[in-house]
Amino acid sequence: MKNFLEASNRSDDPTRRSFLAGLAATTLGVTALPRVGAAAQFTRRVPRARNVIFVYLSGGMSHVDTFDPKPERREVMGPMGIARSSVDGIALGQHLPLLAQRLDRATLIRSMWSNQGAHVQGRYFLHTSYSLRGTIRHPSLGAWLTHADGPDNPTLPPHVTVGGDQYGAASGYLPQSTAPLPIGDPGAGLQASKLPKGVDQGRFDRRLERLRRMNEEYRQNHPGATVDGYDTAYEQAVSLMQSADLQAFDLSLEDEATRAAYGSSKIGQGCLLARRLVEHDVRFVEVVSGNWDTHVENFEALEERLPDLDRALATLISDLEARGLLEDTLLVVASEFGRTPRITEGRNGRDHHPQAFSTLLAGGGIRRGHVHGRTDELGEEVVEGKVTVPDFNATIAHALGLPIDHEFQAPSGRPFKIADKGRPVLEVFE
Amino acid sequence: MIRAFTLLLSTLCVLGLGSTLHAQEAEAVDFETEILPILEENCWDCHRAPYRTDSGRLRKPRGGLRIDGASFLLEGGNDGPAVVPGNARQSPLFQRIVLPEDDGDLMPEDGPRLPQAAIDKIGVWINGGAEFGSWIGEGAELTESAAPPPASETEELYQRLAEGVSPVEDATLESIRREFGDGRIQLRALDTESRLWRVQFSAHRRSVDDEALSVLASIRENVAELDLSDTRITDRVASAIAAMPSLVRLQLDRTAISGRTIDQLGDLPELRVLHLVGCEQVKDAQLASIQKLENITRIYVWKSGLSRKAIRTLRSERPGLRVFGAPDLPQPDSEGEPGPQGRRRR
Repeated sequence: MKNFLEASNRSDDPTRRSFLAGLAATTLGVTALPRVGAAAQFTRRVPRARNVIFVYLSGGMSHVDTFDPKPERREVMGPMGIARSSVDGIALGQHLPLLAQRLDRATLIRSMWSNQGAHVQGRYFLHTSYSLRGTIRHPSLGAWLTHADGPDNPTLPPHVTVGGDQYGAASGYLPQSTAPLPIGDPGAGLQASKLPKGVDQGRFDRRLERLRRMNEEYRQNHPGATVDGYDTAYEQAVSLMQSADLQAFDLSLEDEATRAAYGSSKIGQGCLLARRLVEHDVRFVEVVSGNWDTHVENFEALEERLPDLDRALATLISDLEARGLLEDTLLVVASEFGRTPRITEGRNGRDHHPQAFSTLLAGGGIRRGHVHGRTDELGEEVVEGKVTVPDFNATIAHALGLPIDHEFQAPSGRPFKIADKGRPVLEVFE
Repeated sequence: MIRAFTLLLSTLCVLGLGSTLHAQEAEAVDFETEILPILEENCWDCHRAPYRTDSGRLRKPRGGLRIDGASFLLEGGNDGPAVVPGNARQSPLFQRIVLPEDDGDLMPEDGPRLPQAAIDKIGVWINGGAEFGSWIGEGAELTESAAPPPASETEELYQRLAEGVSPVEDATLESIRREFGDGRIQLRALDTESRLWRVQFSAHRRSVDDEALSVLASIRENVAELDLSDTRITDRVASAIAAMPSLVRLQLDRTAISGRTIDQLGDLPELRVLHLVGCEQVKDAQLASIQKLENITRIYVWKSGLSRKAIRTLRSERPGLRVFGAPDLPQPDSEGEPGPQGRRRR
């Protein structure tokens, strides 16, 4: 039996073996343990995805109005129509015509399943594969990628979120250096990344040196991960300020036609920023789009919101493809749960529905024009190819070649895996 | 097997528990006579088919987990399988009975901790493969799990190429990194045995010139993916690239290379994916050379010097080749409206 550390060596660190052993020893409490039981059946031989753009639709996007319409059932669809797609026999909701045209480049998963019916818990589960507990914070997938595989571009943060919050992407019990760099407004670029007026590089360096000296005594008296984390954050910020790739954050460098194609919406500009970042080898970018919690007047809300999303995703797919980035960039579109196919009386809305919903994957070795799984004729239950949230994350991790079989140990000593007990859905790969 | 037990032992030590597991290593555990009674007594109150308690209240299995059938144990509840055969440490059924006393997740929830002998029994049973013997209990009979799907075409290709070359020594990698300077080159192994590599320059690509390729000579047989996009290379690197027999994917976007480089790519037998976005010096005159690249399946030519007509010709004469030109961006003025093709209904 080959142990994990021998079987996995694909990073550019001097040796990945020593890196992982060191990592386990220094940051996770104890030494890395050899695998037991079955062989590493889910270690990918050749990972096709290197980077991830994770479009997270916060609030629970209605699956029956978007990715899994039920045109035969008027009581489900209400006034919602459909848009035919470029894949035979597959339609999307009527407000996603541009994305539907490009469905031949993506895989739809129509058989998602979660057991978390509340927003914060659902969001946490989607990002970490674990349920939210009081005693521990788990890392999100972007933190795992940063931790287990490292950055590609040493001068940019490997993990970025555009419009996220504390229950989404986070470092959990992993080191602070794996936490995402948060960007609030994609159009505003990276704030406070230039030297203040009247401060030249020499003066800036002297200021930093003074700061280091002031902190020295405190650091010696209070050693620990939290204090180190602050230092890491400072070092990363300074390195970023000096990066030649800082312009990756500047959307004004894009031509007008491209900016207009993505749309002026927050999600559109967020997707454009994400493309610029992966182009500069940032590894994991999450773009958050809010207000999908359509309890009241579902159809009006979607008519207003979906066109922006449609435009953003359609443009992103076309743009990534023409630039050759879809070769190794995995686009993920997901929500924490779906919404009830039955339209609520009086409110004309839909409530939370975790037991059946849909997600979309494209690029990074994902099959083109494929649909995985099926719900019943109302869209209420999964009847074929159930994919749990951990399975979904295991699939993304698998595409990236991450060691999903490997047990890592949290500082508390309990063993964890990247996607808990999730199993990758191998059918979605080319 | 020995390792598994050492591991289990070390886990128990970490958790502050002693163990006598090693003494029982050789003994097989019979599920029905040795494990089932423990589960029945300690777990079934909360983890079996929904039932009415004496007070008439409907009691559903806690955490969605039933323990009264082999299939339920393997399928598990809300947190996934309860038993991972061969691995007690990964099995919640075991994890949850060895937690520290003050951990809220410790099972049984209300009762005292299980006797050490019972814990050991369960651990040995799971590590020994969690065989149920003839017992099925409630629920479905167990079926063999499906075989994993066969390797994809890409995976087979990389596998074949990996077999043909030797692994790269750490010393070789270090010397390449030293030559370039700290962090200026990224080398990533693509397979599990460090035989095939991806080379890229990320932040420092604009400082990479023709000299760079000579540094890679020592791993030229191992380079399967080479990203030279946005570098300052010229046609003089063509022979160095052509000397990389395992090259599958080549990225030359926005470089000054011209037809002379394309002409030499014909020497690369495994080349599948070619990126020429923004290569303005690659012109229609190179069409014949591109067509001769027999094995390529995808080529990116947006903003290159190839005319639309040349791209059309390439598409029609090489049906197996996917040619990616300008992106089909949605019309900007049709905000919220279906694009021209989106309106198409059958």
